[in-house]
Amino acid sequence: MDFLSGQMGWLNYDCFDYPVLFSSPQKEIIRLGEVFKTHLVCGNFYSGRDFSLSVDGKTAIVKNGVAKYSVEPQKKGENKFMATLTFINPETQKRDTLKKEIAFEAADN
Amino acid sequence: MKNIFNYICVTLFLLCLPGCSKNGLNSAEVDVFMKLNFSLKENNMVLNYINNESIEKLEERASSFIHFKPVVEVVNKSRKASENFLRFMDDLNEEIIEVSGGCYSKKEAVESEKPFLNGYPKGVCNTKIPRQILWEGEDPQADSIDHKLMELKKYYLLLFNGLWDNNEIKNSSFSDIAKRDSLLGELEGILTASCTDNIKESGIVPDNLSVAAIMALFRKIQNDILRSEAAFMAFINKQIDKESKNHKYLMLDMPQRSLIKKGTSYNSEIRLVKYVNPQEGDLSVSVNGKQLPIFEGQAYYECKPGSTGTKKFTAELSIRNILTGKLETLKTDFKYEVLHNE
Repeated sequence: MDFLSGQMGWLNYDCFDYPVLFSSPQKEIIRLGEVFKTHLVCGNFYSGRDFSLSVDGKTAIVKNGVAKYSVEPQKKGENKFMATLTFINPETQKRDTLKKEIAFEAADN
Repeated sequence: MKNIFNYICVTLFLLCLPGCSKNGLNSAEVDVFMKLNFSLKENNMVLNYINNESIEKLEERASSFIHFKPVVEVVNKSRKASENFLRFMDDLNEEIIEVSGGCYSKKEAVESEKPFLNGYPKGVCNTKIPRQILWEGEDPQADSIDHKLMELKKYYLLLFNGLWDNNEIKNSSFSDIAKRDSLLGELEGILTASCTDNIKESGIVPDNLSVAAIMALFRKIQNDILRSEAAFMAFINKQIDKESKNHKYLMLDMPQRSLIKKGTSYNSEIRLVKYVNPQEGDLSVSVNGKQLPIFEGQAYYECKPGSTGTKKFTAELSIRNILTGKLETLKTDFKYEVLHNE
């Protein structure tokens, strides 16, 4: 059994064969005078199914590696929400959590 | 594994003595001997097949990904060494069978009215020949087997040690010399666990071993050789995989629109992105031609626009693909919006 389990994953080379460049800005919209800040990374989408998302404490629907979130803003100007993503890290097999405050802009109708 | 080894030794001992003390064959006893021998032979065929398959897959990948080439060379060398040892054990087995009278032909088995003897060694109960070949004379083969077992382990460790030469295997444990000694120690432990005690220290009493018992014992030694080889390959692979999976994760918000009108919904897809943290010098990022500082695989860009409206910037990223060893360049345009400061 030791031997067989040792063979699991043998040559399953999980790596970035097709890298993609991502921008992950603090805000996609800024106001004049503000600084636009973003992180640029080379990576790929996580294809694992073991992740869940909650927004401001409420669970969002996750399907095929994508969590869809929809909200109708109640105020004009900048709106924010706190997203918390939990997933099983495939390297450590432990539950990891990522938190991010996401901002968007609502204009007058 | 020592328990299995002891179990086989005890089984051989118990099976060998009563049946062979008579000068005739007990069909049930011979059958048990041969079944044990046959089972181990079957196991060895499976192990051999798995090891060959692993090497073939590795070679296939190495034809496109140069990262694997030094590893392929090492596992091929380990395969050759274990094949030589397996052949040596087969030859010795053949020699013992031949010297003790060879095998029953089908005709002989039928004539003796014991058809189950077909292919069985005639001297299956002989203890004198194994003793002479393995423990006596100028060149006792038990010493050779023990020596080869020790040499094989040393050779695996030597091959493993060579993987740090020339720093050829980037982004792996083999590119970090500080890890060498501890990994060599770990591998030595794994190889010791996969390998049998040597014959001299196993407690085997030469007088008790018949030809049939020796056949099963040789199969067990071959089984150990193949398992050591598999453990060696799996250990090497683990070191490559471990480092190459050095991923980090971030959350990416991908809204349909960043600016929405009041009364409509903000719709977004949120994804988990995994990215790598390459070694220094293997990643560079520039925006509009200007190089950006990089920290843990992320380049940070900021700017203060002087006017409103849609702004664009072009990011260019160069990264060394650890599988192909080539630098790959990606160029992507990004947009953001600047509103009036109300």
